[in-house]
Amino acid sequence: MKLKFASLLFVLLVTFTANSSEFIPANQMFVSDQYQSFAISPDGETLLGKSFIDGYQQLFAFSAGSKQAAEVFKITTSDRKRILDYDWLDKDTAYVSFLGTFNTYYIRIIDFTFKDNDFEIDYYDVRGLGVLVNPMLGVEDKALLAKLNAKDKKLDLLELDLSKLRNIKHNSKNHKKIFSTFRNLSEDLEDTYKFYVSDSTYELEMIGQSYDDYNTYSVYDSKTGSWKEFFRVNKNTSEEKNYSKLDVFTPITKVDDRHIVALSNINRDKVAVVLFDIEAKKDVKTLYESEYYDVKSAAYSRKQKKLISVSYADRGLNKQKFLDKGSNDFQSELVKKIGLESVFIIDRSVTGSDYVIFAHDASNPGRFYHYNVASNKLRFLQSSMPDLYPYTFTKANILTTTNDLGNKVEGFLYTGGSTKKMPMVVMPHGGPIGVQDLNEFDREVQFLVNRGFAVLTINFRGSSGYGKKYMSAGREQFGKGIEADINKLVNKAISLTAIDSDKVCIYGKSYGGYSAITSTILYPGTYKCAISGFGVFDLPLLYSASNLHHSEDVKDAISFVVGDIDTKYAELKENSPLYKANKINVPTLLFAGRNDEIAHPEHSRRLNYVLNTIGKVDVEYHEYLHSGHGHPNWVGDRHQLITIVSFLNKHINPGLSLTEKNKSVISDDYYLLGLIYYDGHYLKKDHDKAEKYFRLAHSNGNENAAKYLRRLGIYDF
Amino acid sequence: MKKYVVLSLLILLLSGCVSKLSNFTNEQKLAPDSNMGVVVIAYDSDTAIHSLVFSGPSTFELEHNLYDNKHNYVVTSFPAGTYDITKAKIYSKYYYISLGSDEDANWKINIKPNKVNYIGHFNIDQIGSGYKVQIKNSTTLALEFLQENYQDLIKRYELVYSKDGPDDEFLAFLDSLKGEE
Repeated sequence: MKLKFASLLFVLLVTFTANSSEFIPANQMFVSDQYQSFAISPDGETLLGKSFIDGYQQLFAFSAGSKQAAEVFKITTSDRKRILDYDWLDKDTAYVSFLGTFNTYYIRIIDFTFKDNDFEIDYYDVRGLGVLVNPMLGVEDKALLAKLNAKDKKLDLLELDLSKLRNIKHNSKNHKKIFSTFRNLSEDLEDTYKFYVSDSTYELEMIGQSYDDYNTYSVYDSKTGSWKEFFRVNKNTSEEKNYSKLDVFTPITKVDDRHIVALSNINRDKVAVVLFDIEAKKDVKTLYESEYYDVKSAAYSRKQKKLISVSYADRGLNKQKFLDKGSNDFQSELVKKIGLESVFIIDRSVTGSDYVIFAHDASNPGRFYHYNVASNKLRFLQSSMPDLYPYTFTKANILTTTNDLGNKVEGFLYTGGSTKKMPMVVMPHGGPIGVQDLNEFDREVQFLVNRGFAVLTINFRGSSGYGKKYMSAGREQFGKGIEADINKLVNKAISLTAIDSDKVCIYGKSYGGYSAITSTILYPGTYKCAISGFGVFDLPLLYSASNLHHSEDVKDAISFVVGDIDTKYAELKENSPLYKANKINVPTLLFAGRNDEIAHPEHSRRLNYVLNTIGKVDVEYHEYLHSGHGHPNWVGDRHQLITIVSFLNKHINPGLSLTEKNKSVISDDYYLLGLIYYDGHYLKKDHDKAEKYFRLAHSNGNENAAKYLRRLGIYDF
Repeated sequence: MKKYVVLSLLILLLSGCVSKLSNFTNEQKLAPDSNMGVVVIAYDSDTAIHSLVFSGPSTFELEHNLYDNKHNYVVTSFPAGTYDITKAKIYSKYYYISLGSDEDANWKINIKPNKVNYIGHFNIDQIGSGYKVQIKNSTTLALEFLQENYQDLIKRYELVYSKDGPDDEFLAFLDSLKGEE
């Protein structure tokens, strides 16, 4: 197949001067990343990129150094269709795993033929769900693929021989016949979900298995020819629990017959990289541990017998840290060259000649680069969200405080560099256990800052990333220690000259929604308004929201975080803002998803009903018809954030003088809200609201709104 | 063929002891005997629900035809007592999903006499070739529905949440708010 080449959009970022006061339209901010990843071929000669543009996921290929790329795969994302995985299998073969038409999974093998500076491709599709485990780069035409065996309901680790699949008539019958000849490395293994393969012999040497009642890890003992289990964690609540829900144990690689390297926080506070003795079933050496943070991932070289790199969120920013000086200096040089704080090497050629680099921080959603070692040249590939290039975004200042337990609490304050005092939105995160706010690009945060509000996010007790004790300290702290942590940091923020302490609101989703409403009760006078998305307000209702919540497993999961319903009913009720609604004294904005199975919309309906019954404060309620615990597409986010900005402007207006361009952006936002109420798909059809927003859009200059006003039978505008 | 025979047999056996209930409209004055409870349930599903079978002191089949009504609620009455929802018939009387209480799901309801017993929003989601069936607690929706359509009924009888399981004190809390007014 001869391909048409198109120019890559590599030459952006140079001609526009950014204007920080320019409003970003909601429909430009709340979109998916357009460029999502890149992979380099084993010989470093060709790059594959994945994009998502105009409803299509696409893979495109180009020679390293070329400015033109050709599309090699494209799929619409309607009806759940999407790319699941892709990678190079060797220097001239790539694979794509995707969900295609009629909910059918496929694996596409793409063969490249290179000629001069050009290439052609040939491809075929094999039916089945498969994910690459190891490309077996040392062996021509071989690769290890974990493929779902639907008949036996298990994953088979197959050694593909691509030479057998070429030059045949491609149909299901032939594929089935040829696949049956491939060596199955996991033939006798059941319930295996994780495969660890040796990079030198390509033999399966470690596995993770998941059974109804427990999960295990085992290594292959070549002496006995059998699998030896070295780690087991019970899942079933009726059995004795051997580990806490907060324990982490993730093998990284086998080192020798006796040891593996793993991420673990067992018998320690922080997740560390450890050498684990599989006979003694305990860690025997700490390879890397941070004083403050949990390690999130690590790379270990068996050849060099040493740890290469670790990554963790350092003051909210995910960073890859190399442990040898040379690599570390190289990375520092990249940080300096690129100008973004977090730089990850996400792929490299087998020869080590070429790298793919992803750099990002709070002020930038991300940029991809290609680096060639020999020439020491760093070449920009693409931004993950190129449409945002005219706008500037803001980095956070780190705020810390010490809570009553003596723990350091980290928060991130985004002010956007305004010279005058800003109103502030406090944004507690969800969870509350095991979730972490990062000092990285966040659409909601940046949208609010762009519209004139400072934003404070807080990693209160219970947040992940700071060790097990810190996480555990958040258990059963609804309306107690968590809100105290938030309040302490809020007080620190409002003491700063950049913040207008008379203009503070609080907005959170899920647990953050609970925290927002509860904080207005616990700390009256601090907040001028409260906003909740998908929140919980009646803690006993968590247990009675559905009959499926009555099972011991679900009860156990809820009580681990919230507290036991059987022994602590009164306490749960006491800490439910619903039953203290008469103490809510600020205007309240609520959002819920009709299909939310985590925070059932009944929580928000109840609070809305009670606040309306009491009639003391203004309350506004929006129930999305097709949303769950979040929105299925960006339209919901756009509606939610435009509505929030409108609500905040009413109660803590930043007092910005609007340029004509910004008025135009606002009119487009209102027009979008008008369409949502007019259409009645995402929210209940509402003639009055449609009219209100079309009028606002029209008065701010949107001419399309006039058309819809006339359709509503309205002519006096 | 065998499956067909089994189903027919089941229907014959059931038809001997199952009472069919009807949906009361607001025009009718629903005044059950003193040993009876008014029962309110909503059918909330994209999958067509033909009926639910309740087994307890007696066995009742609660049919519902969404197209005959302007809403998705059924308002009827049962003899007081504890029941298990044992079957959800979908599409027609011939296809059903077996329910019944076990360690994963509690399908019990406790009907109290002389009360309006809201038992939940019965929900079926088709997931692949299977179904996720649950009964959700949407008391606020039921309350608003009854306030709008059965004002007289909830004036005469106290509305209670009658799904078995952890206590839900929301309706009692609303009553306490009335006292504060």
